[in-house]
Amino acid sequence: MLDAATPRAAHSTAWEWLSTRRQILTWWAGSRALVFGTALALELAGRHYGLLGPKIFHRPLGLLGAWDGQWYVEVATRGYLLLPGRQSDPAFFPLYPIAVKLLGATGMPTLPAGILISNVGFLAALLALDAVGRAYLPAADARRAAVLAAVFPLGYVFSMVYPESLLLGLGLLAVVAAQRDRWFLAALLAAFATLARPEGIFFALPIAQIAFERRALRGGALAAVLAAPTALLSFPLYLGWALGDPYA
Amino acid sequence: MSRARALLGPARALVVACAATLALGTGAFILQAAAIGRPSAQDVLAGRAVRALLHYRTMWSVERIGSRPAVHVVCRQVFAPALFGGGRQRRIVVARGDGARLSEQRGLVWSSLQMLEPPALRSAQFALAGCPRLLGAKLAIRLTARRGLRAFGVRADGVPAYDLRFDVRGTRFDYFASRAGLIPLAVRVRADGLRAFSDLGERRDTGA
Repeated sequence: MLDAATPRAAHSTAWEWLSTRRQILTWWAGSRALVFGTALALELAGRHYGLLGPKIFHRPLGLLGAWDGQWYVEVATRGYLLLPGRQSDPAFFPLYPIAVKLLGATGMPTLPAGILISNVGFLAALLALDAVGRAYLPAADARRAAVLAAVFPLGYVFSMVYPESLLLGLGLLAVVAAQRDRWFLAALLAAFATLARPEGIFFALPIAQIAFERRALRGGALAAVLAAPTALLSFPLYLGWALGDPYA
Repeated sequence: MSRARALLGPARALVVACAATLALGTGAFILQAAAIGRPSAQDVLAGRAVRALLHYRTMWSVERIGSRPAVHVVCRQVFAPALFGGGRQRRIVVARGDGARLSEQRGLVWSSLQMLEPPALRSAQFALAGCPRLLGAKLAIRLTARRGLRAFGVRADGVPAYDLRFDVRGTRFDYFASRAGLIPLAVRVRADGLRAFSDLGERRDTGA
């Protein structure tokens, strides 16, 4: 009796969890459809010049992999190389290219892999934003904040081959983990967020605030606060090893 | 006893935090090293050659094109009035001993070379003159894409050198730099109906 009831209860809880966040899922899907639709419309419209030159549109949805996206794909496929006095790729942090590379190992081309990571990462970020908000606001307000983030006008970058969605998702999940006293998980997520972009270091501040509020004088809490600066430090150390110049 | 426990608590937290932070930092480093790795020795060498070229503003050379007499050439990088708009911009000026002059500014090329010259020679003239910025740009484009650039250990002018070889639209370029200090030594250009070689002599100075 118990065996039969438990999966049903879990299923019902998951369904309930999803249905309370249906609005977020809907706005995420709608706003992403708008971004994809706009990218395709620009591709079909022709007249490609300037920043939207023909090089960008040589493959479907190429616009979503344009500009910095090309550098991230470059790092994912060929690794870092320093060219002093010229634009070169050590300016781009490593986690996103690593994720693209790992997904690419399944046989998926780099552009779809990057787009998939960014969009799934953005959904995770919206759900995490809702979870963070629920700790401080009524559920309806937290949900509204997540919906507004989904339709934020510059939010198209969260669908591009850029690490912004990964940064936001991992950083907010780190805060959620800290709110739930899962300090080592928070440390890991904050470190990953910082390896996606250096701005991830700022997630150490809300984590420190949560630790301070809870008087959490524990090793895990301290590690969660120090995780982001440590991850940030690991990148120049890696550059020093790989390129012979930690300031590359 | 309780006082000792009170002191031990923060100390234990500190030890745990340090151990966890160290593990995270090490893990982050290993993740990057394992997943991305480091560039090949050939790419690093070419990157260093590009860096070394940045030190030069003026390059003298003696060019030998096929069976023609040798010509002295100087390539200078200067700041000059912008072709469009105000201000000053970098300009590359090549003056040849046979009276021909070439200049480049923001991708626009002006040349007094005879139109009867082989097209490969006209397009290779800046590289043949050893113009550091343009030669560096040719190397950098191939390096960024990690293709079309090969490095060999050779002897040039009797000194151990590297030969950095790349192709541009049917024209093969070899840029020779000394192993010690990556000092520019020579450029060789080969294409259909064209065999050209220039001995380079550099001077580090100020300018563009």
